[in-house]
Amino acid sequence: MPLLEVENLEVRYRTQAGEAKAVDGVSFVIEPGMCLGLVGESGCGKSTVAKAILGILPPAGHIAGGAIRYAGRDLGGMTPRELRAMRWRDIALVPQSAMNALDPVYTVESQLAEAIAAHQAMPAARRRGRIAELFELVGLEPDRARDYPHQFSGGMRQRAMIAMAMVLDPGLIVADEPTTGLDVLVQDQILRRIRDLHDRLGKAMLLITHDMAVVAENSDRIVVMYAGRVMEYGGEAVFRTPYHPYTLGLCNAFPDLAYRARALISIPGTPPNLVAPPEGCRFQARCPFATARCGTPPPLIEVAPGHVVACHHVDQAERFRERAADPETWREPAR
Amino acid sequence: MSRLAHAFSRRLLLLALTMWCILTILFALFRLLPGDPAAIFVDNNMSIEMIEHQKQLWGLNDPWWVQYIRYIANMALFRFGDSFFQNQTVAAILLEKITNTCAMIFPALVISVVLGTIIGAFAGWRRGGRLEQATVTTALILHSAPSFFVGILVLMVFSYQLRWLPPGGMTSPGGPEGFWDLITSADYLRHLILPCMVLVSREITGPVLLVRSSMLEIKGADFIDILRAKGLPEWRILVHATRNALLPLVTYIAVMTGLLLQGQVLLEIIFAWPGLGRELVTALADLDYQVAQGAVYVMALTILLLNLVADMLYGFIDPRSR
Repeated sequence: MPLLEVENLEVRYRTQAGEAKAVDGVSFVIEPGMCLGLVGESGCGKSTVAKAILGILPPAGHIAGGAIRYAGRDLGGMTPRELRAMRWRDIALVPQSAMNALDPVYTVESQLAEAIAAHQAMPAARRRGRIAELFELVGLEPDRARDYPHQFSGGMRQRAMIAMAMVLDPGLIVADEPTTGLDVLVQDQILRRIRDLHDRLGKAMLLITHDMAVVAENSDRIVVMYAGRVMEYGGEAVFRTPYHPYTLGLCNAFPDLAYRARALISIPGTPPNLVAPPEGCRFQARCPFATARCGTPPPLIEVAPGHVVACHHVDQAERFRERAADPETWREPAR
Repeated sequence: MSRLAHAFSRRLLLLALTMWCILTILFALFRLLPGDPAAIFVDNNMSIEMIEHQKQLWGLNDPWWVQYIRYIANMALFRFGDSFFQNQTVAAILLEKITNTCAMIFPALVISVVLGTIIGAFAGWRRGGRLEQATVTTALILHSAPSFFVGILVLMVFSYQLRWLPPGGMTSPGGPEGFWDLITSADYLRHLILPCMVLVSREITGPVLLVRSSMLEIKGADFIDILRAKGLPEWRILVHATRNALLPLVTYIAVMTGLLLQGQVLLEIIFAWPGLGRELVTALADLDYQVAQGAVYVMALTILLLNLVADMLYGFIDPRSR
């Protein structure tokens, strides 16, 4: 049985302009011990997916359709009590901004201890032992546990958050852009810690990022999201032999992938308005290869076992890949 | 800890300096007032020699700087002299009046802060509900209602119409003597209810509005999401949020206490409460300079001390400012 199943998830936000469909029919599966990378640019709905899974959508947002199942149990059908019991014990979070993720007026230790206390009876001494152990695991000095968050650097806080995510030994860890706001060296250390948890401890992970390189290095399966929809879904092949023009653009925009020596190319334009999204393919307005057919909803085509692409033109992928490497292709704003 | 001690001694020095400035202004002010202090005790039967003798005795003929130094020294040692009209030392009068004022404001203060925090926290947490709107509107109305109006209104209803509670004073005639006997007596409580009620109705609005608005700010903080994701029960999350929302309240309470301690002139007059505010007004009207001077001094000192307390307390409750 898969650990986490997200099926046709739909999340909407109430805004002044109307309902924004932040997540529109997203599906994926995470097997035990697997790391799934969710990529896309800012505002594509990837953090909203994380929030929906964790049940911490802001008041303006709600799940409008679909299902999230953890170990076969639908989270939507749970009572608040059942939901609370499974939070953090089953699904924990390494948040986007460790800077503000810790309560400034409590010690780091007490905030970790609190997570334990909320789920299991454990004597205080054993709790402290557990926390010290986790601090070692993430590379923090156990003595520092009794410090307040402001006495930690950004990297230390993120390590503390990783320790916090591990405190109940959850089945799944959601890491939502875990390196935002950290400098490059620290980013690397944090990612290595996270990879460690995955490799050594066999934790299943949902790794959310805008950085194709990070996903390529860490994930077993990859979901590429754009404007609330899944564009491409598959294994390594997603970045080795991408089919969807958006994936190609995303690969171009980050260094250290297939074409190492090449200059970075960005995708011109901005994502569409989610209150009134365009008919058909959501990427059409920015896609250099768009045709009239793209005005109709694209089919989901399985190009290889387990590799699914939402594009009308998968048959031309070879040509797309060639042309996508040329900066000229992306130069003029399509349409 | 040594940093804390260092900060404390710095603040203390600053306080002494401020106090010295206030005293100097006070000294100048009372000497600039029209009239001769001697004129107050002079009556027609006194000879010029007697008047001169009395002035000599009180040091009024000394050069101003000798008077100034003597004045500063006396004030620093809380030697305020004797009242012109009441057969008591100023210190004794002030102590009694301050005690009486405290007997009225502290119950009101505690109720306002505790109740106000709870109401404000809930209002902020349940943002957007009808309850929250009602709370804010009520708080704004209570905050702007003048206490002489509210005071007279409750007197009219509860004392004159319903005759449930006494109209004023701290005790009934022949009530208990001595501070402890007094404040533990049912008689005092009955006298306290009305002024306390009026005071709470006004003072509670500060904590309510302040805690509500800082609660709104904290509710959107990332760490609240994390607490929720950790599966903590809602009340635990509320405790976290309130603890954060309380930070600005601490300073507010200290300032509020300082202002309240100056005496509630209007309330003390309406409810015939023998407190500090009423005493100051009476002393000024009677030209009892000694008492007035002492009262102003004590008020200034209280405000400064409470601000110091606020600063120090902040250091304890907010780890970031340690």
